[in-house]
Amino acid sequence: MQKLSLREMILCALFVALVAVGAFIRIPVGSDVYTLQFMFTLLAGLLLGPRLGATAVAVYIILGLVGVPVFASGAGPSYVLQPTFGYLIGFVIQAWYCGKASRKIEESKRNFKRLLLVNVGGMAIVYVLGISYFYFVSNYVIDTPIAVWPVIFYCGILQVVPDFLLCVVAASAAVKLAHAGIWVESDAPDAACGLKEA
Amino acid sequence: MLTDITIGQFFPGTSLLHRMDARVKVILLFFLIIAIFVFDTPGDYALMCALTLGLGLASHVPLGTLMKSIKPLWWILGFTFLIHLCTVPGETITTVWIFTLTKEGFMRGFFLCLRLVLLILLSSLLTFTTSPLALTDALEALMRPLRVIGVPAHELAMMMTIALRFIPTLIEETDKIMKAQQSRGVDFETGSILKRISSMVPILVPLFISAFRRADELAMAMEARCYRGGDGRTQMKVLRVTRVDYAGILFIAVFFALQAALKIVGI
Repeated sequence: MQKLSLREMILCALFVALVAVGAFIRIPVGSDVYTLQFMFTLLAGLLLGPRLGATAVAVYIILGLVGVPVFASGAGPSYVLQPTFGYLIGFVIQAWYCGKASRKIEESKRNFKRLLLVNVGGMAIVYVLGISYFYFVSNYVIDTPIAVWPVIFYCGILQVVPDFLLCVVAASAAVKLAHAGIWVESDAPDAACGLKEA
Repeated sequence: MLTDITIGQFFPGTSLLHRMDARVKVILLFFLIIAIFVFDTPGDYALMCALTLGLGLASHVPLGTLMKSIKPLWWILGFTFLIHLCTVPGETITTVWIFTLTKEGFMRGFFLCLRLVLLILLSSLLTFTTSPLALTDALEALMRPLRVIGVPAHELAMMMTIALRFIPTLIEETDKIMKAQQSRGVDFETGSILKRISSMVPILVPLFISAFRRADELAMAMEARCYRGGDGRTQMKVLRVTRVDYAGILFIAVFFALQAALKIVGI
């Protein structure tokens, strides 16, 4: 791993804090409660780029596993046994992918539709990892047999609509932020803080 | 939306567990977790329960507070228990509708749940008796040997420390931005899901801009104070292994020896 410069390190740290804040914002929709965690990991990938985005999300997970309650429900090493831990692993790869894919788009072509497409790709990655982890943990770790299709239904299909909305919001916020200069363009250490002089 | 948030479960105190070195606690917890999976007869579980209860009492954390840490996982526990109760074949207790409840299922479900509860309780004992900063320090110290293979131990710990410092600040900031936007007529409470979610954009944009600005300012402040990474850096609170820690290690070692002995004798 290429060494992080001080600015990059601090930027990652602040995104760790932002993702944690996102996990705390709860939006009650009907009887369910949704958190904005996923939207913040999408934005981490989009705004920070592959290397820093994935680092930020990974540090967030380590922080939670060490025992600081930054996850949506609780924390600690035992969180690995939660069937939903796979989503967290998915977030790291999703952040890397979103960063990589969005950097491939030229600056003039970086519009809402293209970023939304990138986000949906990221969502697919999170789902594949999240659902397979859920299936694996349920069947082999907590020893609770559950078939493949119910898992896909409860953890995938039922979540698609709200998660897609989060992708939409993340894409539109990312376009606005990119215009404001909040976009870490290259992975060169000096370019880390792209904030334009106000 | 942003009420009732507590960062860190840390429960300040001066008990034996509080005075132990964070590194020793992390390592001992690691061994205890392995032990829960290795020793799995009812007798072992009884011993492990006694140990957990003893540690809980020694930590001076109110047992009610300790039990609250199970709350986030209660539905998994209940689900696991019910599935086993209904699906494991064996001696039938009673039949409800199409489900047959068995004695074997009851036992297996019970012990699996007990295992999960013990795991949660032991790991939350660590976070209850260790401040988040001591935890990140311990993590840095424990990962230092891994620097040989390129794990950036100091950087990771520093990022965690900065994140911990900024979580309350950013929560406050989010709250402030939300109030500011509400006073300008943004409506978060009513409307369709689409409308409610799209009203997040006017929160996100200022929040991220301010986060980037803070990062810039902090980087400047740290550079001005000649921060240059972990090499040769000293700490204000140095982690020290003391008598309490040796006593703790000895205690857990004796406990493991007892469990192993029981296993060999075959009880």
